[in-house]
Amino acid sequence: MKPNTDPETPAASGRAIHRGLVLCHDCHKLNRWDIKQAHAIQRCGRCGAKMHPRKPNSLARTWALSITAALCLIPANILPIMTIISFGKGQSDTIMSGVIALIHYEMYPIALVVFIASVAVPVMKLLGIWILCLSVQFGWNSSPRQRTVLYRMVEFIGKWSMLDVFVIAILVALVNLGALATIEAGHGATAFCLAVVITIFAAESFDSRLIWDQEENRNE
Amino acid sequence: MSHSTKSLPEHGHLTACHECDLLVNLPHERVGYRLKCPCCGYVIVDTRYDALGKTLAASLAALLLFIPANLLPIMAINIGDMGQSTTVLQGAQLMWQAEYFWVAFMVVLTAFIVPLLELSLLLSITVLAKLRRGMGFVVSAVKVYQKIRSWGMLEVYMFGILVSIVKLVDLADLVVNGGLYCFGGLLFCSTYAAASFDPHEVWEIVDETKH
Repeated sequence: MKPNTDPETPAASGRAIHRGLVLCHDCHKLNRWDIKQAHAIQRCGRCGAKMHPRKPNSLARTWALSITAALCLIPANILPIMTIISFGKGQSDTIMSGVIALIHYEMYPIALVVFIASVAVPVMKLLGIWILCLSVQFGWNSSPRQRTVLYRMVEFIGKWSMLDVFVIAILVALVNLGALATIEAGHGATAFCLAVVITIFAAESFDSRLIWDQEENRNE
Repeated sequence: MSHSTKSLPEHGHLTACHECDLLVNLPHERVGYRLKCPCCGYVIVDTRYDALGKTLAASLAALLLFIPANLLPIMAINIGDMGQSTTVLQGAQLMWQAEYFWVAFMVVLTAFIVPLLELSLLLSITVLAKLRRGMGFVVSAVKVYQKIRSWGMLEVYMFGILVSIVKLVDLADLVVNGGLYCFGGLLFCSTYAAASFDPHEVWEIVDETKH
């Protein structure tokens, strides 16, 4: 079904912010925004949540969080994420050596899954966030629609990096057979888990409406 | 209705796109309607027939499955005459004992606490909305639900189980236990509950009862 079914009030009547309206982030109700009290706290008429025309300090927060996450990825990839101890001999695995071991055992599909979830997704996600931040900050002239799709992808793929953390938690619990075989977690897992969580916060703090604000300023 | 709606009579059927802030008209007929933002393509409204009832049924079923999915072992391993089985919480408990507090906390949070909280919130929201009672609680429940929903990662955990099975299958005898089937059912029901949940319908009921 096509949107804009009512001919009397056209749907594309501009952005809410230009008509002094703000969408409540919690209950999605349109409220009037009093521009004279822009610095005071204004609350939603339906649910009482604090309203912001745009997420506060969105760009600065996203930059700070995504750079922190990138720093966390360094120990996450250098330190071992788990150690397999079998008959007294230990073998430590980092993220990449785990993937390489899977390739070595010719388990290609699972190697690909682990590679995508623990290497490709975290890196692509941070790159995606940085492209979005840079494009808003420097007013890059690329399609806002494409960038919105990029934003949606970044939001969607975020949680899948937790895969490796869950795998470690399951293996540690299962392979706990004393002298025969034991799997222990490594500090790389902590750093990796931290990186995933901070990246999710970074994606959440980015306000996708900034992409469209900038497009409008150019048209005026 | 509340005072803000009175002060905005001309905006009664307007809403703004969540992702690009475009003003869009809401349709009057509300069942079986899917409204995409003409500017950025975000799905603004997606109402289905008796969405409340579907969410209620699915979240109740998921909550019932939650109990065996977390009490029964998901799978067990046998090497020689030694064996070990695991559940979500046991995995986290062992990580905690090994002093990986942060990892253990995140596993419990994303694979246990948040999914449980999400399902309880969905069930109580839909029951109260159907009964048209306890709207104050419904308002805060929907808000909490929307805040925590990106932290529920049951589907990722399910994938983690599959990856672990493949990793271990050559090394040892693996036994898949009943817990895994319950976990699969739980994943199906909770995904269905989240997909069928329509917060717009709940907010309209909140407005109606205030009136």
